[in-house]
Amino acid sequence: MSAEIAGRLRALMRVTSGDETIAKCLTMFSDDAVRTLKSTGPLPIRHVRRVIGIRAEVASEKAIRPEGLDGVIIALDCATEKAVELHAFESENTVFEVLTDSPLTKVLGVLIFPGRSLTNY
Amino acid sequence: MNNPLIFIDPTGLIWGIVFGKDSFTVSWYVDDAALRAASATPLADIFPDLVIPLDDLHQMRFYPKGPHQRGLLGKLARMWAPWAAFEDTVGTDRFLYGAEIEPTAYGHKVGYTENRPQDIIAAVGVVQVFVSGMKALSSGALARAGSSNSARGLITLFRGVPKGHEMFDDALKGIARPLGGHSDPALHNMMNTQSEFTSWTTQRSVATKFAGEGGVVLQKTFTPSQLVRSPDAWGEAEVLVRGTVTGAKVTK
Repeated sequence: MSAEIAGRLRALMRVTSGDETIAKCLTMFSDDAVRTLKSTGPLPIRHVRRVIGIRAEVASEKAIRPEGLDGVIIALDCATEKAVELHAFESENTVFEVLTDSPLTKVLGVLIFPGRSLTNY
Repeated sequence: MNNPLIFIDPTGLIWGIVFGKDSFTVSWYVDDAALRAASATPLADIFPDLVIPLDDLHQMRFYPKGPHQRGLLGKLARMWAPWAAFEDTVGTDRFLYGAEIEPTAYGHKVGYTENRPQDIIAAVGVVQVFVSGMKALSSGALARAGSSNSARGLITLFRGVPKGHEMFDDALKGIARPLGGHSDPALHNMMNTQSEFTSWTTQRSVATKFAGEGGVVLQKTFTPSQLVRSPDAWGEAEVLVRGTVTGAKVTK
């Protein structure tokens, strides 16, 4: 299942050109990183908008704004889907979260959290 | 005036360091098992000459043993608390350092901050670290602290529940009920809250934001064994609690 999602994510990120954060995420999405991949399944977009909005506020107060946040907020505001999915993996002491529509036909954005871990926390 | 103890806390908490690739974290742990589980090195193995007496439980004080040496405090502070913002005012009798003490499921993580000491002192959940000068040094004391609850290993957590949340009626009764589902803390932190956990935070200010207008903030004190660590990617000081919580204080 992870391998299938990983392949799909790779393909979608490849065709999402011109976004530096997505390009960086794709570069770091190695086979080792795929082993750490976690996917949420469909999440109601209203829930995701609200939580990310609050998290962005908290994070900015702590000066730890993740890379890609502005793009993700815009994408969520513009999205017409009712559900989205988050797919996270870890590579080189950094967590990458890929936001897609549901079911997985396009990448809406990527968040990069340096110094975080999905497996050792 | 103090009760010198070398890295042994009378409540059974133990200081340890977890070394990362480019950084390290100092925490205290509830027992040896928790320290080993976190792959931590006991601080006593690294700084055998430092002594921690228990003093005022609301402050942390670092008093290096032995005669004062110019710059020694700065060096020790950088080793002991490289995360701390501090002013090294050598030449006066008072040195002011700041460090953030963040309760975690396993104990207390001393967090990094680049804020000015005066900002740190004003912040919620933050403990001042005073390093006194010559006079204090002569006492050969180094005190550490936390709240009296934290010294007993208890952690007070907050949970914001917005009006309209499916469990809002429960929240008004001081109940936090998981939605039910998976048991993966990482997935929960990724907003898939169909899990056996509810989300809490050590910071009231974060819970208040999640409660929003018309929402409520639940407050309850837990023992570490009731808590589950979260990857906390966003730095919300998130802690997960497994199962239904009852008897929480309902505030706003």
